[in-house]
Formats: sequence, structure tokens, C-alpha cells
Amino acid sequence: MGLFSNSKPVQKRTSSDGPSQSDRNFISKAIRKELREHAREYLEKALADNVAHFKRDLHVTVDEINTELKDHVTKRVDATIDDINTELRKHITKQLDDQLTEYKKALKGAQDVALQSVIRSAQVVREQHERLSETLQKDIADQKLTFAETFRANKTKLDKLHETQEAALTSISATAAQLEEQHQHLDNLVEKNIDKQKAVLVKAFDENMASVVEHYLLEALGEQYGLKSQLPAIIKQMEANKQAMVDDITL
Amino acid sequence: MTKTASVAYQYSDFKLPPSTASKIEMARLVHEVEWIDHELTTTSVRSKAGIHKHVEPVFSEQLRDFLDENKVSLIELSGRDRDQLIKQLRLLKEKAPVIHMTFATTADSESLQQLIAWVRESIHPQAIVAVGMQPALVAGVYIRTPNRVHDLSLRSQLEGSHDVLVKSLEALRG
Repeated sequence: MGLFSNSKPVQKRTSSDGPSQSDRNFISKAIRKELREHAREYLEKALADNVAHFKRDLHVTVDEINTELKDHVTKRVDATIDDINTELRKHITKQLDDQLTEYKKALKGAQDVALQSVIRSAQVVREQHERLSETLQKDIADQKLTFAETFRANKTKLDKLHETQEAALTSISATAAQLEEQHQHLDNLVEKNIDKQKAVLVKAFDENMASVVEHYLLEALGEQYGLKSQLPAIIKQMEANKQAMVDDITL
Repeated sequence: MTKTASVAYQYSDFKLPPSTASKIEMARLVHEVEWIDHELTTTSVRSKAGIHKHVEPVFSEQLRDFLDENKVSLIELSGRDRDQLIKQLRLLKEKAPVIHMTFATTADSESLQQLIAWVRESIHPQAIVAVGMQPALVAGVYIRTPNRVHDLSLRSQLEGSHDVLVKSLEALRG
């Protein structure tokens, strides 16, 4: 890669090679000017090509450097993070171990205190229980004696009462049986009488039902239902039988 | 139109007024006409004998209704026409069809006249009505025409519905 790699080497002009005065004369000013223009254009073109080529090379080089730099930085950062993690873990583990040791000590102390307290309470409860048991046994013994005496006294009374009740029950049972018998007898009599009365009433009702209804209608309609109020109904019925009456009269 | 002498009467042409409803009233009408005829004949004989005694016969309301209804002037009739009228009235009394009507209550005259008017308009124009009363009918009327009976009473309807009534009462009695 070279800045002027495509340029042709400048050849030094020797006096032997240089144009002579005649040449110079031969090459007029116009041609020289044209050649100069041509050379300038050529030079500009060569310069532009070289610049473009240089730019491309520069871009490629920068990209490669970027990639390599990124890889290098990444590797360094990873290594640093690993180191930091290892140290941090060690530190935290150590801290936790220390705290756990302290907690264990404190817990053991509290457990000891609680155990002692429980043991003391249990002892107190046991003592109270023993005292209560003694008191209860004494009370039960007293109650037993009292109950036995009372039971004996009441048993005699209950026996007497039972005998009296037995006698009363026997008497009541006999009376109840008599009453039941009488009640049954009365029931039968009443039922028979009711049946008889019912039969008589039903018979009378059946026999006189039509008369009763007629009588009721007569009473109900009799005076209030005069011929004047019946007249429209009578004429209506006569209209219905008109033809039969006409036929009978003109027979 | 006034009936004059030599008019031939036919009993079947007579119209009976509502005031002449029963057989008795019919007989009374005939009797009254006969009596007036007798009076008029007597007056006529007396006048022929030179005894002028003006007699103005007094008509009952019933007779006046009949004469008006049939447009007959009894005074103006000759003796012969009166005889014929009496004869036809007697025939009418005998031949007029009689309808027996029995009611459950007393028949008031207004209702009776309405019934007679209906009978004469619908059944026969010369029908005579014989009225009776039977409370056992409860309501309605029991009609007897010459050959038939029409029991239009409530009792009859009750008897017809006796079974229904018994069933209803038995149903109520359970």
C-alpha cells in the first residue's frame, strides 16, 4: 500500500535527454499549455484514486481494530466480574457464618431459659395438683358419709311412701276400670241414640224435602211475588204454548 | 156505523170486550140484553095502548163496552133484530171456548185484563176465561183448554227438577 503506488517514477531529466533549444522552440507555447493541463488532470485523477483507495483501507483497518478491541475488552470485563463474584461470595459466606454462629448462641440461651421456666411451672402445677387431690379426696370421703346417712334416712321414708302409693294405685286402677266400663256403656248408648236420631231426621228430611222446599218457596215468594210481577213470565210461557192452545180450541 | 133493523147477526162475528171475561159475565150480559129487550117491548106495547111512559134503559158498563165494541145501538133496533141479537148472544155464550186459568195468587183485574187481551188476540177472539186460585202452584199459571192441560206453574217446574234438587241436597249433605 503506498500513497503514490500507481504513480510513475519521476525520471530525472538530464541535459542530454532534455529538449534542446530547438525542441523548445519546436514545442510551442500552446502545446505546453495543453500538456500542462493534461498533466494536471492526470495528477488530479491519480490523487482521487489514491484517496479513495486509502479511505477503503482505512475503513477496513478501523473495523478490524474495533472488533479486536471489543473482544479484548469483553474478555477483560468477564475476568474482572468473575474475580469480583468470587471475592463477594467469600465475603458474604463469611458474614453469614458469623451471624449464624451468633444466632445459635442466642437461641441456645433462650431455650435454656425457657426450659428452666417450664420446669419450674411444671413443678408448681404438680404441687397444686397434689394439694387439690388431697382436698378432693377428703371432700369425697365427707360427702360419702353424709350421703350414706341421708340415703339410709330417706330409704325408710321412700319404702313407706312406696307402700302407700301401691295401695293408692290399686284403688285408682280399680276405680278407673269401673269408670272405663261405665264410659264405654254410656258411649254405646249415646252412639245408638245419635244413630237413631240421625236416621229419624234423615228419613223425615228425605220424606219432606220437596214439601220443605215448596213451603220455603211459598213463604219466600208468596206475598211478594204477585200476579202482576209474574205476568211477563206467564205471557212468555203462554207464547211458547200458544200454538198448542190454538190447535186445541179450533179442534 | 150503527146497526139498524134487518141486520143479520152472527155470534162468530161478535167481539168481546175485556170487561166480559168469564162465563158468568157473559151470562150477565145476555140477561141484561134480554131485560132491556123486555123493557123496550113493554114500552112499545104500552105506547100502542096509548100509555106514554118514557123509559130510558140504563146500560151497565159491561154492556156498553160490548155495544160499543160491536157498534150496535140497542135502542134503535127493532124487536125482531133484538130477538136475533139475543139468540146469537145465547149461542155465543154456549159456543165461546172456555180457558181455565188457575193462579197461585189472587188475580188482580188489571193483570187479568192484560191476560184476556192477550188470549183474545193470540188464541181466540171470543175466548172466555175461568179464573181459579191454587197457592200450591207457588207461581205461574195452570191452564186448561177444552181438551188439554198446560201446567206452566213453578210447582210443575220444581217437580220436573225434583231429582236435580234431591241430588243437590244429597251432595250438600255429603
